[in-house]
Amino acid sequence: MNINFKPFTTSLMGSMPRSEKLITLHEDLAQGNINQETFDQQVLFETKEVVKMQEENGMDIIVHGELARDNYMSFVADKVDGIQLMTMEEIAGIATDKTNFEKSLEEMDAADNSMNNPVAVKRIGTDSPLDYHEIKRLKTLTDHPVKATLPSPYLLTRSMWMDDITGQVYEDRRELGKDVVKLIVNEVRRLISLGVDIIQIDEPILSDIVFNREEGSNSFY
Amino acid sequence: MNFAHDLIKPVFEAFKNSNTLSSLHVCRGNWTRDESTLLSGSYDLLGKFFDSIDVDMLTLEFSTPRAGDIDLLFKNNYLDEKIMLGLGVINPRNDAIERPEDIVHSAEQALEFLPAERIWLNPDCGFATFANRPLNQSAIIQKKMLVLNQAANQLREKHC
Repeated sequence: MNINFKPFTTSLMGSMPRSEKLITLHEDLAQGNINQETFDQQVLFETKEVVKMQEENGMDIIVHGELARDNYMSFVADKVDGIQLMTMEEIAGIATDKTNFEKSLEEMDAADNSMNNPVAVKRIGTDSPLDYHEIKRLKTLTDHPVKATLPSPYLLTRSMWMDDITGQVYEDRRELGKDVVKLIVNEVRRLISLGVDIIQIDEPILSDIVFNREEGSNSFY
Repeated sequence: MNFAHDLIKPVFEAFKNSNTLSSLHVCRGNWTRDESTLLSGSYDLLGKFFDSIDVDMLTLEFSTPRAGDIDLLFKNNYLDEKIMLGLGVINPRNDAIERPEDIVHSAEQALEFLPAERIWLNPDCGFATFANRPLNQSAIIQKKMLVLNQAANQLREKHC
């Protein structure tokens, strides 16, 4: 562990707002209307602004803002074979108890279909870079130490499992979990070899286990 | 919880003998500004789990009452002997700019358990976890960063 950080070191947690332009370009990219390069150019332009903003406002550790990600975990669908992005609407269509699922989304202020979920639809790739290219580029944009952010394998395994689909290709969640652990461990090793200063593993689902109000209900989006 | 442990533990084992600092971030939801729909609960329920993982740093929410008091994180475990804490002192989901003295106060509560070099400062969570649901805008975020930096400088002057 690198211990050469000062007391009360400051950093952001990872994600920053994307411009309307970038969000539109992301949709265009998903629909095949623009090429990857056009999207990447806008990501780079906005990442530079995010880096500058952090440096100017005194952040000790720099993040890239996760600007190319649909969300903090769903982006793995863009990176890994066998994982498909699904909207809440699509998932509700497959959910066994559709009415309850939709009611739950409304109660949780999550019903506008703006949050997507990655679903394992085939055996997943376990050696795909996740944040490697973004961190490699970030290191060229700043002299500060940098932080990478990755979704936790537990979060991913729970989110990526859908009985009707994933159950066709994996025996159970444990078997899928083993592949997800391989995916994340391989990326951690790759990022370490790149010399990243900090890797933050995002794991909100632990809260769901211990703080959830109703046993069994999914309160996490 | 065992399943979570089985999946999370090997990730942190991969950091062994590296110069990269490992951090585990836990929050209670970050998809809406409506705090009442987000989860509540204090960290005493997770203390033993944290203790069982070989992680350098825990990056945790503490900017809202939903996260409970900081002393509960250290109840009935040995986290104070080893852990670094990324202390959440900025709420990413509102426009109110935190006061540096409140951040200092929160860090001083953490100082009762940890030495200064093991305390870092950060927002509770990201400012736009979901691309289509940004929780804040750049003008406010910049002001929040500035007070975070001011508070860090005040703490260094006072305690280092």
